[in-house]
Amino acid sequence: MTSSTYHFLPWLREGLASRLRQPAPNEDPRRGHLAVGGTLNGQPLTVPPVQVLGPGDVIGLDRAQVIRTDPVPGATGFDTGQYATVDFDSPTLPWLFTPRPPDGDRLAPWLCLIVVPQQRGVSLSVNARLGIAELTISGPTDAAAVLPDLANAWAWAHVQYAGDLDPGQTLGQAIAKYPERSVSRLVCPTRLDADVRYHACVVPTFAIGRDAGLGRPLGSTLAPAWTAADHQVTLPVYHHWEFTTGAGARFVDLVRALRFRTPPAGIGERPFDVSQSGLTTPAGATMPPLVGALCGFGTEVDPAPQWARQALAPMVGAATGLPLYGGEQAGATAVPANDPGWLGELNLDPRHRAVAALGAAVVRDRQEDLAAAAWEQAGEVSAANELVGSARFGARMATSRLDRHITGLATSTLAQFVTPLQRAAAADPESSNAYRRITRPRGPFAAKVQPTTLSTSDGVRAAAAATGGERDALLALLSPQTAVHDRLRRRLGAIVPETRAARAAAAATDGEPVRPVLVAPTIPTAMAPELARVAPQFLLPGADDIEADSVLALQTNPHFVAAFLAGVNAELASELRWRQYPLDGTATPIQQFWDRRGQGGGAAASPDIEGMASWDRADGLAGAFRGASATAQVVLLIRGGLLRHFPRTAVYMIRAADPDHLADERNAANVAYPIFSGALEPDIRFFGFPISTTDAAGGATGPGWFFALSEQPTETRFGPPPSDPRPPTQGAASAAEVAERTLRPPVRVIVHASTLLATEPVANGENS
Amino acid sequence: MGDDPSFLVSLGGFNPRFKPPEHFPVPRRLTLSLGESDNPRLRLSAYLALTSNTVQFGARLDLYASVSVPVVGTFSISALLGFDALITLDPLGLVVDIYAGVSLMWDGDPVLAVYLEFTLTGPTPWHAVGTATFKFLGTHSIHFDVTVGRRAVEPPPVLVDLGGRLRTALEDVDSWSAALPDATGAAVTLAEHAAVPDVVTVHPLGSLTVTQQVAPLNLRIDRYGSARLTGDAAPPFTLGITLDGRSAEAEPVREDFAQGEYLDLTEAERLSWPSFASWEAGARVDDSALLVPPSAARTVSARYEQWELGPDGVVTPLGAADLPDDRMRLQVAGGAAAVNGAWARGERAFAGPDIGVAVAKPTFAVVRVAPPASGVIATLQPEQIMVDSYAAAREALRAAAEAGVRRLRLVDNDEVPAG
Repeated sequence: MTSSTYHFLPWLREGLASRLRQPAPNEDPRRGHLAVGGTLNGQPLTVPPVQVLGPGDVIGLDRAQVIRTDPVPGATGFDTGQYATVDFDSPTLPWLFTPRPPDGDRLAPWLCLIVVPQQRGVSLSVNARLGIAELTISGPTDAAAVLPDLANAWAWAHVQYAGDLDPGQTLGQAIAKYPERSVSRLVCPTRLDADVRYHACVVPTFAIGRDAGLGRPLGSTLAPAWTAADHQVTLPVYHHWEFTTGAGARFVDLVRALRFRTPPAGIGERPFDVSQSGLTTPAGATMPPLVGALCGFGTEVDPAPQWARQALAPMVGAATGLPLYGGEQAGATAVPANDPGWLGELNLDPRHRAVAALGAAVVRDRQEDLAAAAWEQAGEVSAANELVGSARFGARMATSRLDRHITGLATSTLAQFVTPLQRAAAADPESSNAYRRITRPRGPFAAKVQPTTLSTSDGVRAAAAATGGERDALLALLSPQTAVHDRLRRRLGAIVPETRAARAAAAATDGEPVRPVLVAPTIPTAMAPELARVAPQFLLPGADDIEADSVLALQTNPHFVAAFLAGVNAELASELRWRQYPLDGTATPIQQFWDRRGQGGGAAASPDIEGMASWDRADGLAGAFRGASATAQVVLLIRGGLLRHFPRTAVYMIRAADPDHLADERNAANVAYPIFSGALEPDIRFFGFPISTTDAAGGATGPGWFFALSEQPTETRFGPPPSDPRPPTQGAASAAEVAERTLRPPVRVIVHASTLLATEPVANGENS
Repeated sequence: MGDDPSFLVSLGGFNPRFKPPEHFPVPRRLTLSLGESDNPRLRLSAYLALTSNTVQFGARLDLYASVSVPVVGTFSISALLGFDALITLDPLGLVVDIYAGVSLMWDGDPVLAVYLEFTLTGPTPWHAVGTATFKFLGTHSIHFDVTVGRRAVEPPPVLVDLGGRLRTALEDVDSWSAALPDATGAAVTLAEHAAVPDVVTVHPLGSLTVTQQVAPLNLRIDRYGSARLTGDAAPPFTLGITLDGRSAEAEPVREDFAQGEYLDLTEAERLSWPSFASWEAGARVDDSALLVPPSAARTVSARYEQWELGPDGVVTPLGAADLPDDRMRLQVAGGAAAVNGAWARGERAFAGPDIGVAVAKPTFAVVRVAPPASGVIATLQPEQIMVDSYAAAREALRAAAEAGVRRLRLVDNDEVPAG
């Protein structure tokens, strides 16, 4: 079996809801009940009764829980042979507030999905008092005919897990370990009619949920929200969207509509005007255009004109105010106008400064989340630095005491002081108290005998020989630096420099035995999606001019990426320092620009830029950009209805065995995934491939490659089984079986690169 | 909130004998300047703090005045008067530190100074210990120690059924509370309903907590305030929580207890120990295991429905094609759950690897002191090493001493020998 698997579960529970029991006859049936007990020293305690919240306590759903709807909101042309579905992030959400334990394999969810045609008698309004929407079905529309039967509600909610299980792993363990592979789903069993506009609504299934959402007093039983006898119904709606059915929005049709076109003139470039900026501009001089992150093939980034560099050089630097991007990592505080390397190219070109400022704007937009993530990584650094601070203070106090009271002692007294600390083999009789008493300066023998210099033990003699001074050796034993350092090392471990050389180096710089702990967070998240959200016109300038349903070939601009990430890191460093984060200034926390999630250039590949401290001062800006995406030969951009209806379409390349057949996909060398991908709302997606267009198209160089466009494999679709006229719930034991019967396989369209990249014959004179 | 919940309210900081938990922002004293000029100046600073078992308050009055006499110099006088009170509620106790002083200075050097400080503890008997210092041509101190309240007849020791009191506290519905899950976990908006009396209501993803301040758990207790213990249940008290008849995994919840009220301390320990310790006082049940239907999972093979788009724009169906698992695992990371789910929002979107900075908890060890061989000082061999609980280490020392082992010492932190 070489194919992956989908696992379906009819229900899933977590938390205290997984311990519910049947309510006793005198207990409230509208809430869940737990059997909680306690013991004190083995004797049982009488615990107060515990109830779990039920559907009557909920009036709204967190919008963030809805991660996908099929069809997308506002879709047109949805195929009538499918069911509408909605996916939730938490795999236990549809059964979280059901106040009963499961009945075998069936458990009724407390939410369900309904679709209602927009016609007379159906109205969806927002209730301002409670802030939720209400759906009213009355008048010429019969609610019993439009709404599904709630007796089968157990069948239309399931959990899906995509992928094979690891060996020896149960499904529950897999769901807990890989949360991104599991979703919970509600399916609406209503058969859709063609060319009708529908409301799709997530509504409660229990009457008390309906009453709580509408602000009415609650009933006392757990009845369903509607029955076959209700012809007029009002329901609160937790989530809703609209769509229209029709033809032409199947995946295959949307792929067929794509055409390869030449990019519009000037794509990827924006004119750049500095006349209002305050820079002294020679008369008639203009700046070359600013090139975005993506640009047309063959676009070159012209260097900044010399007058701009001369004008900016005195203004940039720590003393004068304009930030010096990358200065801390390069160890520079100013940059001369004729600097040949990346520091001058980045800081003295107004366009690159503008791009770096964009990066700073993105960081300011997400500063709370970035700072919280950095603190999370730092662990107990505040406690560690408090400990270091008090240790330094203690060392200073002890040194001052030592200097005042101990250092002035005579060597003989000092030796006696130190003797108890020595771990030598045998004690010298000369250091014992009796001997000292006899040989004291004004004692019985002082006038008659000149005592020899008090000899110290072997250990100290050896140390004295090594360091060249008996006195110094004794003082070294007493040094508070050593003692404080050792105590600190016990508590902090590896952070404190271990060897004597390292300690001496640290002490030499500021006279302290140990320095505060500085940390460097690593934030692996890609920044291109943030740029696409904040300023998409800089990710791809001129994207609005791209025609609908077109495929373009573009390239990346490494200057933009390096300048952007330099700005991001500079702003992040200043933001963290303002929040008193102990930041190691030479680190580069964010090194990733292009988004590699779900694509082949995964976590194992090197990041987009290297750490800025390692950039060679003589290199240009593009030289610093060494990541895997530097090897992206072509960026394929697709704009069209395909991406409006299937936003996370997967695109990859499979080698061709001959112009009509694929090579064996099981061989990993025959499949090329994109290195990165990205999206520009609402209908543009781009993929960076490591294979050039000429290699892909084949011909003289070989059979070439096929492009494979497929629906996202975790985003499955459901519909009535085409070959089975029975209702899907007939004879099914659980919702998992219903899901199995109604599952539609994901669609994949393969097209040879030569077909996809064949230029549309031009009609009106535009030429590549 | 969080791992170590505690209740504190502070206007102007805490009593110096009380150590607030880490990361609690300690406010500065509330300060009021009486009078308008800078010389003389009169300042009053005060604070009030409440914690779950104490009331703390204090005030301090500072006076400063100086006058500059030509040729002779500047004379200044500064005086202070203040007190810090710490009242423990259960069992009742009071500690007041009172201090007062006046000093006359000539050009900044003190010529005549009087300083008095004493500590008053109670309630019965009232005991004042303090020092008075005079500085005039030299420094002289007088120490005094006064007990007021006759203890002529030792009253019969009060016996307290601490186990019974603890049981009553644990069975009280006010000791039980339910916490909502944190913001990312609640998933729904809840209606506000009137609370049902005598019932604990909990969110299905939330946690159930029981806690009390009568007595610490899992610790040998010697007394309760000034009373001795009696009753059926004897310390150490252990609490177990069961769900569905089976014992549930419960995390301990800690509260601050005044150590001197529960343990018999020697004088040295009483002086050197912190006044409050964080001991186990309850449990939190936070069951996050998934309940999976035992045999109802269905497995479907994931295969594509494959089409080919030809050069003429015609799509032809090609049947089914395999979807290999490594491709599924790769593309899952770009699916809706990964891109739109909880792990891609907010702070978790930027999560990275932990740097690994950690401070080791204070460690205590019971060590055997070997008598010194000639020239060698005593060596320490660790018998037991305990992390982060002085009380537990002290227990172990006492248990070992009762077993007849001699020459044991308790060492802390950095003197714990390795290995």
